[in-house]
Amino acid sequence: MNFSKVYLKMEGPSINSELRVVVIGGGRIALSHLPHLMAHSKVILAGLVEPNFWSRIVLRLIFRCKVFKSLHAIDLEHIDAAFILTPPTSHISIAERLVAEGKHVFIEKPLSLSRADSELLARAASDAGVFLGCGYVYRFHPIVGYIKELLVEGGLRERLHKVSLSMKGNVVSADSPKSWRNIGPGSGCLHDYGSHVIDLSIFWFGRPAGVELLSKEELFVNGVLDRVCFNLKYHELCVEIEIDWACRDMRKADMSFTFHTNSGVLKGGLQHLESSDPMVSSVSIKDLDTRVDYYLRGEDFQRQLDGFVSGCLGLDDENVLMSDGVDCDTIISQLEAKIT
Amino acid sequence: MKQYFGDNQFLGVNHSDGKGNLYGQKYRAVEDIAQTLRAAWHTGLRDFSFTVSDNTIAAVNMLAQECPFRLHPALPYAHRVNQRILEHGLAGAIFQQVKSAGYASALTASASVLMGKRQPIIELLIRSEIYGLPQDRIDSIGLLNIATDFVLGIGRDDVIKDFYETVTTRLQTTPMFYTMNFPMLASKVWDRGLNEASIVFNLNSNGFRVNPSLSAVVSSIDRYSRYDSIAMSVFSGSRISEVQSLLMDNRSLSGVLWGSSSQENIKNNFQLISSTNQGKKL
Repeated sequence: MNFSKVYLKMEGPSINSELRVVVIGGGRIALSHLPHLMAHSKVILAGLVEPNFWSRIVLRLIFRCKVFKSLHAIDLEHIDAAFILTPPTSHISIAERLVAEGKHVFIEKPLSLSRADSELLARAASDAGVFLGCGYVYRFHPIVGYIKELLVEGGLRERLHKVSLSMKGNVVSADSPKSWRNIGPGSGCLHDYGSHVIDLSIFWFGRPAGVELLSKEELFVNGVLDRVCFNLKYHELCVEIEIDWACRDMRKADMSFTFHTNSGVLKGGLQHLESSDPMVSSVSIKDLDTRVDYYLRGEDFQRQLDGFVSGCLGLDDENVLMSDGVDCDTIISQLEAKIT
Repeated sequence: MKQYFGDNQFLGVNHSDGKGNLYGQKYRAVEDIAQTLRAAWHTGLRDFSFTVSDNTIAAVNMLAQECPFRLHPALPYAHRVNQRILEHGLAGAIFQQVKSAGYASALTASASVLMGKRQPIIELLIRSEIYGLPQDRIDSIGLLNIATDFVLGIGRDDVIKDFYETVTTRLQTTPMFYTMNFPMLASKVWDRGLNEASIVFNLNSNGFRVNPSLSAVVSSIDRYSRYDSIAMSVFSGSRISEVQSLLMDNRSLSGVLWGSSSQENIKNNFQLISSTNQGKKL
């Protein structure tokens, strides 16, 4: 499987031996991206942008890199790519500026909060001839890649009649502090867990023909989804998705899949897949290739970065023009329209 | 080859079979953890390696007389750190952790940091984590892979050295580094004279999370044969014969860390590794 497929490969990538990167946003997810970036043999971390004063002090102490108050303080001439790790409401305005300057951009998921914005950004990236990556990290997970191979090369897609995907975790509770995750635009489980699972469905089955909302629950704040169930409808296939980020029993996020075929069931998650279908073997992640040059958050995290860096440096010339990130935002917009 | 009993099952961690959350539910009560630790002790295990968490500390204290393990606490508990960062942000999480050691100590340690000395604050953070454990049983203090590999990734070799020196000189025990990047870490630790450190890393015949590759890790075990290298995840995806061959082929290993939730598996695994120690195959 070619992991560069996640990214939008456009015309004329730069041919350099190293990628000079700036990271925008010094929050929790940056703590996962920064070590991978700094350990990467083809990446030079040129700087970090963080508006919070105290966080800037701590980030300077920890990472010993240049930390700027705003993107305007950086001379973009010396930058090849940017990682936008800010809340989703700010993705587009930051990305538009960088893309206009001809910089490759990686954006933590979701790409944006509106289909129209995402489409415009994808078009701008295409016109500027830069890479646009989105942090749908699960695509790079060994089990997810294995399932993709089964679907594409193993003939599984033709034998499926129903699929259930779920993601559950313990992110919010009644006493969770308020942040962009659980209040205001871009909040709620649909943009967070939901975008990951929708993206997996797009990765495995392509763009759905329709969306059907089944149920929704707002447990703690009015208008902020904590549980949601919906169907993505494909030709002769229905993918049922269940999202719950307020599941108190869970220690950490857990994803599960059930594939009903015409001769059995494949059931499991990111660690194993149990099969009662005689045409598919059960598999565990320990049976798959998990090797990476550097491991911190998981092999998927490192492979996601490898794919983005290779694409930006022109080391991987496979052209994939379909904007899956835009498709994901489109589905979320459609669901939100049904919810309101 | 020393055997360390591990605690992933108590924390609901299972890397390959999807049983993590099931284990987490099984070990909610302190007595449940104690029950498994009793089984390990009565099988012959004497070293307990664990992530510092409230329930595990309580279980260790419950068994302090009955099963006096040599203790190998490791920190920080990633789940707790993650929650703190989620709730308070990065700067707030660090402040919360330092504050938990008491204002006076926190102030002194923070002043040392401003003067360029990090060891006082590292000692403070470690002491606040291992508080409540029987201190005389502590045989090593470990830095878990989430922290070790973070520091490794950002190139802060000086922090690795600070942790080493804090543990050896201020806390007078053995530093243990857990990692998923053994060859990279070994060069930063043992090539730089931090000789008393133990390194714990993944090793299994499947190459499951053995980074960057099984052959590179095996080469590093040989290269650093005079140091204390401890393998974990040796059973991942492997048959008994493969585990035995792996351990017999890597005689330079000084230890194996493994965990189990069933009495029968604890007994079988202990016997398997003991027999390998004696050069015999079961």
